[in-house]
Formats: sequence, C-alpha cells, structure tokens
Amino acid sequence: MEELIEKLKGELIAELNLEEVTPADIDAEAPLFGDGGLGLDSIDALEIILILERNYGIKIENPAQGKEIFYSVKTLAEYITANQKK
Amino acid sequence: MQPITITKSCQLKGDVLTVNGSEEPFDFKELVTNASLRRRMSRIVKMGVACGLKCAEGLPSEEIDGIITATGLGCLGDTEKFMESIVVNSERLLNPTPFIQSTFNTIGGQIALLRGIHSYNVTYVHRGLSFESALIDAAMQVAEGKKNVLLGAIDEITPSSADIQRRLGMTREYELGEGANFFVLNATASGSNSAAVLDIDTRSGRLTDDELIEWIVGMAERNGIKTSDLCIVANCNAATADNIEKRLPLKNKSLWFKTCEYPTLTAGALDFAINNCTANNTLIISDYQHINHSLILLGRI
Repeated sequence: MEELIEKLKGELIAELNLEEVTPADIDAEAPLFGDGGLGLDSIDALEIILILERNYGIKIENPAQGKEIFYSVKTLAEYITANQKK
Repeated sequence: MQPITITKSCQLKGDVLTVNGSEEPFDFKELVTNASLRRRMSRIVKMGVACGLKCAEGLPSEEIDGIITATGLGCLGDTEKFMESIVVNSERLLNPTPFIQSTFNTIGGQIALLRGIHSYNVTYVHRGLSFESALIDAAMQVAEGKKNVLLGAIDEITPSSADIQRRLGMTREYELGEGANFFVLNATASGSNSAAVLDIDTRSGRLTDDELIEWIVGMAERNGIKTSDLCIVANCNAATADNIEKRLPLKNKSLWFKTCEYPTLTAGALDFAINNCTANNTLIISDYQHINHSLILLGRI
C-alpha cells in the first residue's frame, strides 16, 4: 500500500502539473479537493479519472462513489487495490 | 481613418518584460495568484497573460471595453500535447487540460477571466496578418467610441513546429522567433510614449519592390505626408529595406528591425517604433514570408 501511495503521489504531481509540490508535501490522508489539502478542482477530478483508467485499468462505474474514492491519496490507493485489473 | 492613440506598450521576450520600452521586473505568481490556474498554463499562455496583465495594470476593468488578440499559430504546445495524446491513447481517454488551453483565444479569455472584463473579446488568426487584422478591429472599436481596448499578439516556437517550418524552407532568411506584445489603445493622447495610428493597409501575395514603393508613396500621399519626412521601420527582408532606402529620398535614417520571423512579429515592430522613433511620422513596413505584407503609419503625439 505504501508503495502504491508513493506512486500515486508521483502520478498526481506529473499529470496535474503540481510544479511546486513534492511527494513529501502530500499528506496521504489529507483531502485532495477543497481547503486543507491539495486544493484540486473539477478539471483535476477528470485528470484523476484518466489516471485510474489508463494506468490501473479502473473505470468508476458509480459516479456517486466519486467523492468517497477521491477523498485522499490513501482512499484512491485503497480503491485501486480493491479493484485493480491491470 | 480617424487617428487612434496607443498609450501603453508592453513586450515579453524570453524572461524580459518591457513597459513603454523600459525593462520592468515582474513575478508571475503575483500576477496570477491562483495556483490552479497557474499550473495549467503552458509557456505561451504564461507569456501572453503576464504581458497582457502588465499592460492592463492601472486601468480599471470596467474601463477596458475590449480585448483583441492576434496569433498566427496559437497555443502550439498545448495543441501538440493534445494531438499527441489522441495518437498515443488511440483517440480515447484524452486529458482535458491541453484541449481546454489549446484554443486560439485562451490568452484573451484568461486575461478577461482574471481581470473580470466582460466586454468584447476576439482573437484574430490570419497567418502573417493576424496582428494587422486585430489592430484594424481595435482601431474601429475605438473609433466607435470604446474607451480603452487591450490589443495583443502572441506566438511561440515549439521544437516540432520549428522542425516542420525548417523542412518547409521557412527559415531560409531568418531564424524563427516568438514573443508577446500588448498595447492599450484609446482616443485620447496621454503619456510621453503615446503614438497615433494614422493608417493601416495590408496585402497578400508576392510584391515587387516597385509595387511596394508605389504602395508606400500612395499611403504617404493620402495622409498628406512627404515620403522624405518618414522614418522607416523595416520589418521586411534586408534587400527590400536597402532598395527602399536607395529609391526614396529619406531624411531620417531607416531603422532595421527584422532579426527573426514569426507571424505576429509586426506587433514587436510596432513596440519598437513607438519606443525608438523620434520622427513625426513613422512607417512600419512588414513582410511575412514574402506572402503577407502591411504598412502601418504612425504619428508622434
């Protein structure tokens, strides 16, 4: 899980062009969206959907689950671990 | 045409920003404080937005009645990224950001959003006459009573577009260039660097030196100016510039401008003319790839 969390941090930094952020700056349990975390927005959510589908072969079938899955790097990693096909 | 005044000119080339011809330091993070917006901006968007915001600085948003931009090739970096992802991902799962940022009007739109300017917002993409078309529109907007118009021109080089242009033989005479220029246009003269745009004309297709000289003489005549009183800013190839100087009896020494080639280089020549020509009347002669030509006649205020 720790390895996946670090990999995800790197992918988020690269894909979302988080120029001023390093993996160490990202708290795996902090919220990705809104205040108090990375402050990502709806366009970033689309980019994360693409990361999940392209890199892990995971398609989120139920959009209602999105808020829960995308809460933090840790929740993303847990969802990938439970659903990964690639 | 009714004279239109340019009251401010800004240029960004590389990391060097000039305002009315003088270098000014700037911090992009202070200009665009929203980190999410900043990290999505490609190089050309950052160049254009920084230059446009600096040019609009000091003007209340409600007094900017139009943002008119020009670009020959647009936001190439983002366009290439988007096109590449179409190929790499077999036309599926495309990232939204490069697509959103690849449109020609990204810079005009971003400036409007950042400054809350809800007025006329248009981008001209007319190859080597993009800036001239935007300037004509800006002049018409001011003539119709618009208070201030922010006029800009932006083009960038990317490695792949440079490669394509080299293979097409577009770099035989000049190396490729890039830059961002912005101007504030209005109907009132203010500031020591003000210049009036007295006339603009454009032509496309091959032009002989005889035709060019006839065109220059015609423009001077219709504006009641002797060609000998003109200061020429040569944004055309060296041989043509030499020929003009030999054949027209000019009192003022012509100023050489063209050192590179890109579709909106005329905007750079306009910035140069405003900030370097002291004669009462300046004529900018531009030529893009021997296909697109323009004459811009300026008056000193």
